[in-house]
Amino acid sequence: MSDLGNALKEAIGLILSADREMTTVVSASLRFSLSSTLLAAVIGIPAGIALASSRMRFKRIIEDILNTLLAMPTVVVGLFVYTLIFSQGPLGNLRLLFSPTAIILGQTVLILPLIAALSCSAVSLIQPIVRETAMTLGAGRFRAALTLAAEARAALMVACITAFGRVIGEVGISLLLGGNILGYTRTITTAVALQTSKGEFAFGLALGMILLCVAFAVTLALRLLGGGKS
Amino acid sequence: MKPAPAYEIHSLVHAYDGKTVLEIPQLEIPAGEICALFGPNGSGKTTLLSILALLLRPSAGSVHLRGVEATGGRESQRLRRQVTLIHQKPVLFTTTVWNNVSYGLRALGLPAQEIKARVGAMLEKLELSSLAQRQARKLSGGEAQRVVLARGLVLETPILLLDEPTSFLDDSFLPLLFDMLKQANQSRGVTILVTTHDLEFISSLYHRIYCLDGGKIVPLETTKDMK
Repeated sequence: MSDLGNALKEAIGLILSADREMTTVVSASLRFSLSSTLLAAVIGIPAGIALASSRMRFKRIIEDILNTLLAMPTVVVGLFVYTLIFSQGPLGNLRLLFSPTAIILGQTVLILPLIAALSCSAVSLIQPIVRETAMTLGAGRFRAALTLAAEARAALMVACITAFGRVIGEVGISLLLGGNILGYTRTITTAVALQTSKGEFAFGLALGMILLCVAFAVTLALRLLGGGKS
Repeated sequence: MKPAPAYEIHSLVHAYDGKTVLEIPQLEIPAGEICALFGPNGSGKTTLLSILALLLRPSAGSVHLRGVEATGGRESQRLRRQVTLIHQKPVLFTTTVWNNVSYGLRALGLPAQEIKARVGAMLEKLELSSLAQRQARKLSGGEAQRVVLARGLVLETPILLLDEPTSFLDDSFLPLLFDMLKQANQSRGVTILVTTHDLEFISSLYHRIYCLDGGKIVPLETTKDMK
């Protein structure tokens, strides 16, 4: 209880004093998480819509694979991306390891299946007549897909919010691919891991509380954005 | 020169899960006529309309639309733009009335000024002008029906397909619909095909009637004078 009480006090103190280290790690976490969510949404939403609209033979198998990938541990995704970008890896010459780009790349790989699977599911729930109506009104496939996305926008926003929640709270990828470099790749979660390893539980818990506040604020903003009129 | 028929169908067969639901060896729907497609529920009327609207490819056979065979792909999309299908259970998009009615014209890439003029005129004709900025999903049943109709009619396509309009339109609104259909047919030569299981409602309108039963089509009555 005393740790929790101290954590709360410390969290409030950190926020009120606008602690430099705290603002740096919060800002890094937000930048990385929002970038990877945006990137994964740009790829995953169209992929999910295309999968939902397709009549291909292996559609079910692809859906099953996507759903299986949702269970992938972050550290495994981190390892996978690590093998691609470490100095002797196929993308080693890009020198991405221990950089913000590496974290964003890893986080994107982590949530891409999540956004694609949830988008596919969201669009599948829209009645086929919506697509047919769009097409009989002269829409081509692309416009019909956009119309489906617009109809499913609330559910697509939920997919993005869920994905954001997954990346802002992950530690495996950030630690493995970012290296926890202060002022460069240190995020809230890697800072929590560091503080905990140093025995600074109160400071770690305080950072955890700040993470929850940040996640809540972003989730609220995204939800309001999704609920806007078209 | 005689215009190409609106539709020519040859050896059309359509099956769902191995069961044949439509079998039409030959059918010609002349251009510029109002036709009724009569048949009981489950006779295949909606399936035939989906094929004629090029939303559904038949299992076998060919469909020519105004002399051009619909073979799928981009060509079908171009041909589809000559047809408007108003579904039996119409849906409105989750946006304003104006955006719903202008949807097709925007999809065609028409200039903004033309869209504004055509949508404005159509909304006025159907007494929807005051609802233009209202969310379509918040309309009453009758208002929504008129929006669906406005959205289809504003496209002014040479072929108009209506699936059981009596099932989604108020009786009070039918005379206006008849007038609009008659006017479109007489002034622009629009070919209109209306499916119904209630011939009474369209008896004052049609030139030709087809009966569909068990997936097979037979002409019951040939051209008669428009009343």
